Amino acid sequence: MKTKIKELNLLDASVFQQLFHWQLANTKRFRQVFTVVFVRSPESPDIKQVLLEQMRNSDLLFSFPTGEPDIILMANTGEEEADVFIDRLRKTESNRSYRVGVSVIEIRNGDTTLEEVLQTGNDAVHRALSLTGNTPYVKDRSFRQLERQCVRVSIIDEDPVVTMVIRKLVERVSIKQLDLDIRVFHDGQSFIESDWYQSSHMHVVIVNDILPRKNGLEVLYTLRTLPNTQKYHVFMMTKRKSEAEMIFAYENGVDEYITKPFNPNLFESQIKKVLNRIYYG
Amino acid sequence: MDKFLVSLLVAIVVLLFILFAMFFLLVFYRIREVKNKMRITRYIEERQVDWYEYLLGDDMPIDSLKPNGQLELEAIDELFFRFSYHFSSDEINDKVNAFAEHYMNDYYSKGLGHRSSGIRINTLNKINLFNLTFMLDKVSRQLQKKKSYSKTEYILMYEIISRFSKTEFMAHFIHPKVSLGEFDYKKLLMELDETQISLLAEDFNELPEVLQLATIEIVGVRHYLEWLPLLHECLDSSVQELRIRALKSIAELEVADALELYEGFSRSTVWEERLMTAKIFRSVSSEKALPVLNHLIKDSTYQVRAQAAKSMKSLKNGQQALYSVITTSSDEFAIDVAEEMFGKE
Repeated sequence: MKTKIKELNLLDASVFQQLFHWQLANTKRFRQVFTVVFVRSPESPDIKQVLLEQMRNSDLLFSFPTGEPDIILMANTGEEEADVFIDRLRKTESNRSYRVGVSVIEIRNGDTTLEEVLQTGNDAVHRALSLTGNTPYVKDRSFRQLERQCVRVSIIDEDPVVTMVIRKLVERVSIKQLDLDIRVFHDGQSFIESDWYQSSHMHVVIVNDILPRKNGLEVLYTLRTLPNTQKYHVFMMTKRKSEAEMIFAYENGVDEYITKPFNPNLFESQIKKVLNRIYYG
Repeated sequence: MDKFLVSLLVAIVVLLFILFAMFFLLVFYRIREVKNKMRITRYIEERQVDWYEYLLGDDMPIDSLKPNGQLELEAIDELFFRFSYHFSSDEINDKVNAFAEHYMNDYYSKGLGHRSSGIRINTLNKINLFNLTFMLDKVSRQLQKKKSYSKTEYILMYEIISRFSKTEFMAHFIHPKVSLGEFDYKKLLMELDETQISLLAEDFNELPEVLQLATIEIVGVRHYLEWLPLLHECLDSSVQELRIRALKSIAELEVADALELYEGFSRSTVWEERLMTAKIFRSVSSEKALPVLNHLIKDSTYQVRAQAAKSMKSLKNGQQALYSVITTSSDEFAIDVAEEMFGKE
């Protein structure tokens, strides 16, 4: 029975491309890490049974034509967990006489391409097989660097001095791999009428509660009725300090309530915290 | 007749001339005002980034922002206002103060001595808002002048003095140049820190009665427990309002000692004193509080009965005590108020 379940984890090489891209999409959208393990044994091409026995139930083995390395796709798995698999594989050395070369590639970057991974994995397996030992392995970390992500920032306030200061403060926050696309609006109506906020990007909106034409709360209501409303992180700047007003704002979807006058350094830290959370989840 | 018509015509022409002259003068002033506003706006637009760098960055030397003429001074004053309205930090405060002391001393001094009270009030407000400590001496000197100012100005001046000087305010508070009401004093006292309140409390007997009342109240609101003996002293005062305020502050402090001092007020002829006594006894242990509250729940004044029931409810086993009032008391009013308190659950 156990073998039968394991056999379900053995898939044809032709579906690897689809499943790789599916996993890559999760990496891009939800920052999920995954690992691809390349395995090759020139002396014993049929190593699949050994691999199936050492794999976890959640891992998938893709059988490639003879001569090419087989690939194990470890979904939502980092390099450390792949190490456990290699340890298990090394324990099988007493039961086998042939060598098995392994390369491990942890993927954190959603911009990675299949071709790059295949090329790197194959090269790394060949490098591994040139090393000594019965289970030589190589870890390639080329795809661990996170990809760049764009976050839109909207600053909505009537006073150009305020928007300038806030813009400068936001620009001062530097987060590696994060591109900030900042735009300033001087009233609520122009923000709502623009198609700027209707994008798939994560969006930080820094809005004053009192604005000409449409006020901050109307902007907030507009954002909170959108189907992808969780993409918007709303900072509301206000002079209103009463508990009731704060509760009202939070209940209507404000994420950060900033009472004026506020400390610019504190505001900068809040922005940094939010951007970090957006990027690292 | 002709002579009369001629003189009438001359008078009309002169009047028209004066009217036209006034009209053109007004237009001239308006145009100048609009132009000045535009220049100020342009200065702010052009230099706002430099000001950001000076106030929030490290790279902008103070001399590079040296103002050129009155209009730039007005523009900088507006920029300071806009920065202070939205942002606040010690860094901004110190830099605004340093710049104003260096380049705007005359500007604010002139504003302070201006003949228009509106401009003087604005200047005082700005000194307070921008925390311009270097203006303290000038504000103090202004107070020593024989000239009389409006009440608003005096209050603003006292506010500035109490904010920038730890001790100087005392003399002004005790002998204000204009009669101050309790609300004015409360507003001023809210800005004082603990050491300043202590100074007032130390010289309590020297203070005018309205200031005494405000001081007593602030001791309770801010929970300055070390001034409890002063509150106890006030209980012996012949001034009824002072006794009531002292009891109120003691209730705010939520203290449970010297009960014998408060107990007597449960039989006072003044209902406000009985009310405050009922309030004090909510913070006392049940066995000591219940005899007093059982007496006060039968009080002739509704507010006292209601407070006694409320205090009783907040005690340990208070619910039981209220229940026993309902079941055993012969006083219909006490039963009513106890039932009302149960109904509020």
